[in-house]
Amino acid sequence: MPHNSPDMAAALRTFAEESGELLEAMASHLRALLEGDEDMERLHALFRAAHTIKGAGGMFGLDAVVGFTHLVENLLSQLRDGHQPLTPALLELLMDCRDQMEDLLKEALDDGDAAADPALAARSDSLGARLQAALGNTGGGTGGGETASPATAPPPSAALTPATDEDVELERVEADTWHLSLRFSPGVLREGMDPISFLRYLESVGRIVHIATLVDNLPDAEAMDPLNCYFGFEIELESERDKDAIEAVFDFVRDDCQLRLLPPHSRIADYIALIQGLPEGPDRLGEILVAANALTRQELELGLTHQRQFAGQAQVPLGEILIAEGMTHPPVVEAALDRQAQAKGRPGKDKGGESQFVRVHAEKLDELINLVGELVIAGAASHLLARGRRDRRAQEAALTVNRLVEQVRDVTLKLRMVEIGETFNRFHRVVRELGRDLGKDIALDITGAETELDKSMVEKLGDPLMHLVRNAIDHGLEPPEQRLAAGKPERGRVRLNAYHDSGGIVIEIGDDGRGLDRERILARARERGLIGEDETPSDPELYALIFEPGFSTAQTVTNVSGRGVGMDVVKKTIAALRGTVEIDTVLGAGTTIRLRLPLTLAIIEGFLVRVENVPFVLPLESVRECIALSATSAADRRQYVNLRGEVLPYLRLRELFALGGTPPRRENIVVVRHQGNRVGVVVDQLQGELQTVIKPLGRLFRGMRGLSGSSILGSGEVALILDVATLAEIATSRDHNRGGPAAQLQQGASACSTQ
Amino acid sequence: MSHPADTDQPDAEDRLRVALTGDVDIYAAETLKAQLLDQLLRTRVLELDLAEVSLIDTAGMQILVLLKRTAEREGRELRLSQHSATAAEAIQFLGLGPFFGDPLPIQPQWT
Repeated sequence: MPHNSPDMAAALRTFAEESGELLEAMASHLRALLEGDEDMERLHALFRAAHTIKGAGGMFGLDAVVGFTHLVENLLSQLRDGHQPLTPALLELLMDCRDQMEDLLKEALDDGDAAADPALAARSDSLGARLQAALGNTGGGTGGGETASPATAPPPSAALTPATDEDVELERVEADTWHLSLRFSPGVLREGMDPISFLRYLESVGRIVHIATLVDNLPDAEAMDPLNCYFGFEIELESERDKDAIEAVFDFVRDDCQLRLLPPHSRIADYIALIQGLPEGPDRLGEILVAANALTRQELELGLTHQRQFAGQAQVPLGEILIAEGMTHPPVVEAALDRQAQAKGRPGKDKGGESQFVRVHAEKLDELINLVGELVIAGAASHLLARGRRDRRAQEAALTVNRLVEQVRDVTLKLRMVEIGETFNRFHRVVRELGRDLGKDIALDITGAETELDKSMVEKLGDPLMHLVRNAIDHGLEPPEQRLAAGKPERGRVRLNAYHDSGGIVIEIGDDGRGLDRERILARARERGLIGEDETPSDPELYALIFEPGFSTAQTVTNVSGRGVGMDVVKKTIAALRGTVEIDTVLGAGTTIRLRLPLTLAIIEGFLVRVENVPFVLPLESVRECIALSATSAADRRQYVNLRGEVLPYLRLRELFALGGTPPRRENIVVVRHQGNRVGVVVDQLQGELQTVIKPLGRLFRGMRGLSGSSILGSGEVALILDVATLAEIATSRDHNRGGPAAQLQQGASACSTQ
Repeated sequence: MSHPADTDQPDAEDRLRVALTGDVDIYAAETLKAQLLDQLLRTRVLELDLAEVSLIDTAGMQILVLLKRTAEREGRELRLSQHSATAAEAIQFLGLGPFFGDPLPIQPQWT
């Protein structure tokens, strides 16, 4: 198989994404079934997912995936058809099999060969044997021919050619297939469309039971143009999806094909009407439909006879005959009307939710967001210009443009928003496997799965969440006997929760385990010299120490966690995302770790200030109020003021960044809030709100305390974005030395100016 | 792109064996139509070796169908043989196995 062509690579990527989604869906169905949901639809969905993965995998020649999935599909088929009851043991087996499918796919897609890893292959074999054993339990039935060992299991031809005898055999019993009648326009090949590929794609919405390729229209050799399409197709499709979803498969060739679609259990009359409407003639098509098991011979005879009787009478439109005879189901008529409506331009509200998505490459979205970012800056520039001129109409126009730009920005950012649920759901497997390894019975509760955040954030959150969940399971939750001794239920709970809070997202990882032991952390901190013998740190300060590199209070190092690496990675990653970590813990009752993150990394609502005419941006969400720094307070060099009876520590940006110059007669304090602490930032001028695109800091500035990014203002100036968390830390810590960042900034600035 | 070998002459039993290679697709369709029709008309039995076929698309399949039908009309014979997995699968997928009437290979087993 030519895996190296760009088309193939793109198709493989799509396959990887789609199979990932299908595996997720399988996991959630299996969980629901395990939790006692007895909806048969879930079994159908599981079967369909396995079937689609097998079929698509077969197209790419992923034999190991196909072979294994085939067995899974067999078992699901038996369960679906009620040949054997669904037991918890079988569900566990299916869960393991799903995990194995995931691993096999990953291996196959990464390395192109899932058979390469012997451990993986061994697991396939042992699970395969368990599947075979489970399949054998039916004592005959459809499993008869399938109880062979994995090595001699049915070949993947079932995936490659869905229309095997066995499948047709099954259909004859169920006989509830859609019938699709497809005729392509001659020019379709020239448009770059390959009808066969659409038939393959049809497998994404169902199982193709039978395809009859009509070659009747192919002319003689002399007249045949190799670039014209002459084939027609009559297809029997088993699908649980609705008409829209099936039609959507052919969206790309909508203008180049005629699709006639008959739902399952359509009346004979509809089939006859279909036959009459097609160029091949009733006799030929009738035979094809009989061959495809769409109609029985008796049904065909009956229908054709009936039609002839009416044909002898006056020319009544066929539709009226059918309605007069009461032969068409109302839904069929509706479906036809529906289709007409669609042909006249698809109406906005579509009921089939699944067909409403467009797959867009992430790069294109990034490009769009980048452009919108530039647009925001350009809009700010024109707004500034308009304000400078005393032209009311120019100002109004600029305001309107600005408002629209803001809306475009909001909508664009929303495009990249994805629900966090998918990330959360991955942890079901982690929890299950870890729980089994550690001998702990654990339930995972997920709430707020629909909370959205930027896709780029989601990708970066995977690792920290993994560390935190592993930590909660290994250190947080006690072994069952300790839990019982403490009067807790044996089954431990791990909780993942997400919600939006004041322009950001909060993610909580909680457990109902032993909680953090303040004394032990304190002792360990003193031992390591992180805290002096006589210091008594506050709870947040102390608990923050568990994120220090190499800090572990675990008495035993397991292979899961406890080495003291991991938590510092969490802290670093979250900080890099402009987020913060908080810990809530009650000894004996559990720990909740709370991550606060901005919704996106691309744009910030800022508050523009200046010191010595150097622009700085504070994140608007952290700004509480602005007050004047009275001359008397400014004069006595204290580093705090009295704000409505409370002490407000402050710091001067002029000093922090060694900007020099003399302060103006009247300085201002911007009061910012960080994690419940309020601090003041002393600046020369307040310039108001702005939205701005965050650009990363150059290498010289990176790692400098107090700055989190840079931005280009409408005027073309570069403004530095202040990092409130660090500012608050500097302002509140006693020993804030004035040399640190300032010296760095000077170096940076001089290096900058030489460029 | 597929290049049927054009040098072979029909053997003593008036059979001509031609190997197709690579993609039997729309890009090759015009060439294939001309060459294979020509070859079909020079022999009693044209045997196409599909062992090295990596892809057959709709246009390619139409050429094979055209050859089959022309052969029947002219009282000649078209045989497809040594199907590669892809070729066999494409023929089965479209339900054209009976139309061609050639024995299809058993699909390779997974191990």
